[in-house]
Amino acid sequence: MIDKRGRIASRIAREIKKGSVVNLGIGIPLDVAKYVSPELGIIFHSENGFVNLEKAPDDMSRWDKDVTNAGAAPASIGLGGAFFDLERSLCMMRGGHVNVCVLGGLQVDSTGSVANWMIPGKFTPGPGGSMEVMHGAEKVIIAMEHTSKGDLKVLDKCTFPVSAVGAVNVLVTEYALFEFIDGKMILREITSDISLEELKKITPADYIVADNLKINDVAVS
Amino acid sequence: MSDKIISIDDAVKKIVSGMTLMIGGFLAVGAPNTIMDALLDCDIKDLTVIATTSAFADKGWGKLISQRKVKKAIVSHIGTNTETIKQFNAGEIEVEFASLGSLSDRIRAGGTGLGGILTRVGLGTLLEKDKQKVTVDGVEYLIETPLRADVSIVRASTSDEYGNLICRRSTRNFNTLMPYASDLCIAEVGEIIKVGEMDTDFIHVQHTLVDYIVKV
Repeated sequence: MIDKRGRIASRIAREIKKGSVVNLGIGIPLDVAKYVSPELGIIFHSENGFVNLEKAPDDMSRWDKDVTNAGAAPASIGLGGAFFDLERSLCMMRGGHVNVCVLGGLQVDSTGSVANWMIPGKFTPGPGGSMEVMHGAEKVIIAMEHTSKGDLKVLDKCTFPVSAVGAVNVLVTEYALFEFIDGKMILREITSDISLEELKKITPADYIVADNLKINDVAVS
Repeated sequence: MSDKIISIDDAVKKIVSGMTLMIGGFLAVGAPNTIMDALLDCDIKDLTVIATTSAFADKGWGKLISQRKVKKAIVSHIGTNTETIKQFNAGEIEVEFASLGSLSDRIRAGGTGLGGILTRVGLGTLLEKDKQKVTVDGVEYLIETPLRADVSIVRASTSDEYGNLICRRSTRNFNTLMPYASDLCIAEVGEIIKVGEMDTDFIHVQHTLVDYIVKV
């Protein structure tokens, strides 16, 4: 059976419309590319400076070492791609020229705010370009495990410093898909291995259960 | 032969304690890593460094942090450098976090004669602390101030003898922007070709912005 990170990434892949320009963050988001059908013509934007990001060649002797992704790992540029500098790259992100972003999260709350750059006193990686892409993208998707070592992450109010206020459109965890519409958090989908009551226990957020709640069979996803 | 072409030994002599540096690169890729390594042997300290990220504890300019030559970093991310994280948590290094787009446009402002930029990015977050806000046509923005450096150190794949630079593939990063925003620009380059051999339609940094070239 698919693991929980795979469940999250594969579900998010189905949220991405044909022809979108997409930026994937580090971690689970990067795995989304594995599940996106090539027929959809999705263009991946690499924050460090190009469009038409593709994975590195299988034969690494063919890798051009000047082509890396935003994690400094080997990558390729697809046919028709183009390079640019960081200033242009971030202008594309902030200016709305990247349609969809998928980012990891430390916490997400009922207002659609997300915290993903700082655990005060412990670990402060910094925002990178995540704030720009959330500002510009028409669809902001957060890929996040529902809990972390017992800590709850889908909250009524983020306790860690937020990266963007009310910016999240969709949150996908291994158990649920939430949408944020007009200031409301709506549970749209739940997986078959958890009940609504069990989900509520690990989700101290103020959310509405959609009338047409969909139950996803995890054995199939 | 152009008098811009200098040795790496002469290049690092231009860096002294207390300077503010801009260093090109993205996680030590497309970065002037050879000059950074040469700086490790120099008796310098209290540097302020403006860069995309603080790279790695054992790679790129992040090594300067490991050697405690840096008092302040202005960066968008430090998560890949264990030494920066350690010194930051212990209060031993000052880190000014900037979202990457605001950082890049602050550098652009510093290099292009602008008094700052207006952005909504960072509003409602800790990054708005101590920053002025302004309302334009009913929309609130943060004012992000310009950044400049004493010296920028960038990396290019190819230079001509005048200092026109080309950065191959995904290595442009901040290398094309920082030369505008510093009093002195040193370019570490992989090769130097003759003037006239470069296609003038495809130059990423114009020679008028580059003071010194170091072939590595």
